[in-house]
Amino acid sequence: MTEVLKLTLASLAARKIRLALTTFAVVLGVAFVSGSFILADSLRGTFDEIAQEIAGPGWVQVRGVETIDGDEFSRPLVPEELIDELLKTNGVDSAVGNIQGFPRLSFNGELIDSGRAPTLAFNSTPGSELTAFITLEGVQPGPGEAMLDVDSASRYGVSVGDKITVRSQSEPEQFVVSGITSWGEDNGGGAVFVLFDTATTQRLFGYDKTFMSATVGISAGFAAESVIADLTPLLNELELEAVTSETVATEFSSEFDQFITIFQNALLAFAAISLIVSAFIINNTFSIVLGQRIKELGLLRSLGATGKQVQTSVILEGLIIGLIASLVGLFSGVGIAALLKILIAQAGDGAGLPDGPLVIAGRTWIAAFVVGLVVTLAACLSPARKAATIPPIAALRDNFSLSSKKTNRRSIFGGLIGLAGVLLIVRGVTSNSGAKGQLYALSLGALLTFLSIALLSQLVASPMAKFLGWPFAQLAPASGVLARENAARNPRRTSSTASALMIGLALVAMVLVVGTSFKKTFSAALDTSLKADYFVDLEQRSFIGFSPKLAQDLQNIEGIETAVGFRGGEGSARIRVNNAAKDVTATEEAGLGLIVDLSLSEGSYSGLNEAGVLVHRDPATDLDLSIGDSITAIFPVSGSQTLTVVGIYEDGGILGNWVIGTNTFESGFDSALQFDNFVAAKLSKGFNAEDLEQQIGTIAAAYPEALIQTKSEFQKTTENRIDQLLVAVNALVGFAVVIAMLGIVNTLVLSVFERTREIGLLRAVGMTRRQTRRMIRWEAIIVSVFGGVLGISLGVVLGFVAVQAMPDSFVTDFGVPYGNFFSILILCTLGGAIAAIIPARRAAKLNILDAIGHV
Amino acid sequence: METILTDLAARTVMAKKIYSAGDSEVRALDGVSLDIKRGEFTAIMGPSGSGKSTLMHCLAGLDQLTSGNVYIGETDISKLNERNLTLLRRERVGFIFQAYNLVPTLNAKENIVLPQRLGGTTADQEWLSQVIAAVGLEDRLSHRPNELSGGQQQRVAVARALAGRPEIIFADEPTGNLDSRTGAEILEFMKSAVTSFGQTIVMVTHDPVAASYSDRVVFLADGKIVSELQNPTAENVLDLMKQLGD
Repeated sequence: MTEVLKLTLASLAARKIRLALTTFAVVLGVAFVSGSFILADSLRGTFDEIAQEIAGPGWVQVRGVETIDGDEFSRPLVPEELIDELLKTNGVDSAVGNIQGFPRLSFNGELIDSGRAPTLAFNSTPGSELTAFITLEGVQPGPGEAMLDVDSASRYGVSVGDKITVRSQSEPEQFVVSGITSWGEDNGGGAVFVLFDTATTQRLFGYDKTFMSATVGISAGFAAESVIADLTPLLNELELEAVTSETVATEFSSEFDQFITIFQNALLAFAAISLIVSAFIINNTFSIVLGQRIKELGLLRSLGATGKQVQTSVILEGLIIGLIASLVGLFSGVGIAALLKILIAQAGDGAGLPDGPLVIAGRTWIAAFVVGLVVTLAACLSPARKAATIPPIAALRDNFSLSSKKTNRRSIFGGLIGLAGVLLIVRGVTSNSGAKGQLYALSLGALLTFLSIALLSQLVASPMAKFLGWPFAQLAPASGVLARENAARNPRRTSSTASALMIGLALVAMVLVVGTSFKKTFSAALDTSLKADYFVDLEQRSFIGFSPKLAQDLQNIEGIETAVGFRGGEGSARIRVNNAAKDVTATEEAGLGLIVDLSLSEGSYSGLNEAGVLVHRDPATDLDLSIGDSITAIFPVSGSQTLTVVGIYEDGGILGNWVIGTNTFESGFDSALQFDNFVAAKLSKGFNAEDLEQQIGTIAAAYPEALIQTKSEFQKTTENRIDQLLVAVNALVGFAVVIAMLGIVNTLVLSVFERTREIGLLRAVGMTRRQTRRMIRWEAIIVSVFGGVLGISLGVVLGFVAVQAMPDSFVTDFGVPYGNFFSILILCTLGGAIAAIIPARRAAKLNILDAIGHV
Repeated sequence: METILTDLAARTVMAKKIYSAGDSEVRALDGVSLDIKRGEFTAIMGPSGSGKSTLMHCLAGLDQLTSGNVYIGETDISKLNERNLTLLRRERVGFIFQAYNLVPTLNAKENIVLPQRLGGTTADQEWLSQVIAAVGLEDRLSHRPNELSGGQQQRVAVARALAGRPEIIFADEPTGNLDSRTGAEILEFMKSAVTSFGQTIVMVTHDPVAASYSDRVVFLADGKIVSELQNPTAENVLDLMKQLGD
């Protein structure tokens, strides 16, 4: 065993470049895994800290019981007079009502915005010992006054005595800054916030003699639980509840934890792709190296080493590489985490992640080592087993090669798993097993398809290499032909190397196809179903939309025929129908048919404002609804309400599946949701966009958060947003592509080593160094373009499948980004040329005499 | 003077090649001055370590002298840079190696014209068919090296060396890997190339029979020329070798 270890170490030390390249391929994969964990754990740490600050000393929160599960805004409000009742309760030391609103703030016409967290408003509760707000400067706000948080104040240069403009759903108002405040000692969380006195907060955000919740302090000597028990009978009547501060903090943490876990798993999925590519490369490297060491290993056998010992030495080599890669990868993960943060900030349109220290949890250590070792060991298992079969005679024969009769078996196996992959994909697209089941089927199907193509592509590798090498052969009859023949001579090697690249590029191509299909669907929608002249979107992704006044102001412009806002929508407003929560969108009847065309198949739009509802074909069929039917819907605020189905429509892509009138929405939902998330307007006949430039400009200045765009501008920014997202996703997939490029370097370095003698001969008969470099470079380009062609072809198929699998409300059209694909192939050419730099240099530098004498 | 120079295909002047390893130094070539006449088949012989291979490598521009000069025609190749040396090898020198050294991915024909292809030129077709006919490879042209026997591979190598009509061909133990019958065939080809085409060939060998095909044998020992024979036969080469105490 120790002898084997010694031999292994000597063999590793003798081939440092190979060791470095192989290790690096694994390092990148491991770094991605540990980076994902580090980033997620760091985020959890940051949010847990905030949660702890929220919890603070023991107190009790009184709040409404959610009428719709998971909908924070479905809690009934706490009436103002309850505060006095609470104070009368035994063990209650203090009780204050709380309101949280979503204002827009500006200073000297500039929007005060943190770019990544919401802007919030709270009522100040002077004298309450439980408040987390600390007065740093000035005094508590009175009427017409506001306190601003310290970070925003310093960022925008606001001081005590300055005037800031506050807008909510009503007219803008000026407030004098009475003081500067901080949330806790370090003002964590990153949100912009202001404090008003309670009456002002109630007025601004529409809480008429009510609060969102109340904070109850407990007198010394009383337990929170007993106070809660005492309060419960009183609260039950009002559909309210009381919970401890710990519960509030836990709820806060777990809400973020859910989000972070989803995010972490998405990153890990990308990391897994990188790891699969790494495994491919290590496997390929070990196989090539094994072929080159046959004589050496045969010699070991002839000197008395057992097949098992030879196998062990190959596995040990893998183990050592795995260990080094895991350790280096773990710490590189810190860099990856930072890189991911930048990427996300880029993709999120400025809405990045909060800052906090990076955490390397114990679990990250375990994950890095398990992943690094398992991947390397799995990849070197088959070469190791093959190594054990090398007979001693191999040491004596010059041209002994391990049997590769298995080509047929490989092809049959490849074909079988390909079939399984395709079946899984078909199942994923057609089954109704829910999004998660579909996703699993699709992912597994894609993985099997990758493996299958990796195994099968050796069948086409030679003809493909000859085809792709054709231009080179024309360009330079000698080095071109040689490059082409070199790429074609070992189809299995060429196909494995290209397959590693294929995986990454197939995903890139798939993402691009889906993105292009999105754009196509979107642009078709602009022509057919969303026929507005102006589109008002948010300048930056935000938690709330615009004041409803914006749509009114637009409507008041002469030359605007109709301006309508859209409230609620996917994930922000829900009603309960038949005991299931449904996302609902609200809009004005006036805009339907004129601005938004939902493709009505039955009924009409009229009647929407009289407690009507428009239902998409799918839920209408599921619930067996027809025109004129009444349905009972539970609203968060107004509770149970009867709606009449006035129309059934086909196009769910714009407004989702359930549409109600704005007036129904106003009475049914909390005032915090009374914002338009989107506004669209149409010009009157005889007016064009140039006529209204000035008036639109005035509105744009009054609402700096709003981006008022013409149709072409809107199309462009939306496409840009899709592109940004594609870039971010592709950057994550890009890891796998970079690893695959390293694989090309690796294979070529090994091939050059293998062909030392041949290259020496070529140099002897007159091949210049330049021609030698060119020969290697062109071979690299042939291999990488082969990978690109495979990847793009597979990506188009996967993209097509993905578009079919996605609901029609997202994407209906199918588009292929030919321009992007062309760029990918150009990049493959460049990448291949770059990958060839080191191997080509080594080949050109070979000493001719040594090379010819090399065996 | 001029006529004498152009009569020579290659020559060395006080060629020295010294390998030093630590304190000790090995004089592989110790002042060798040798003229190779055009159209002559020269054999270089000598015991192992005599410097015969080093001499050939330096003559062919594959290795650099420590001091002295090597001329191919009138070109002093010790003054050429790497690129020009490569071009010289490609255009003016041909090689035949012991281990054939064909490119496995190219077929026989492609191997034969490889040096011209590398130079971006095409071989003289008439000459090429003459060479191919001479080595008897007409029906083997589309075969890859692994589909050819050792003798056939070496014939391809000979054809490759002849195809570009180089000023001089260097052959390093060209029959070392072949049985005596096949070896004789190859030597016959080489000899006829000299007699019929006026090709200049320098061959390193340790086989007196191989040497007997040449016009002139030069004997090397300890990096020096120690003797030489004109129009040798296997017997007198062997006699001389015995005399030199090999």
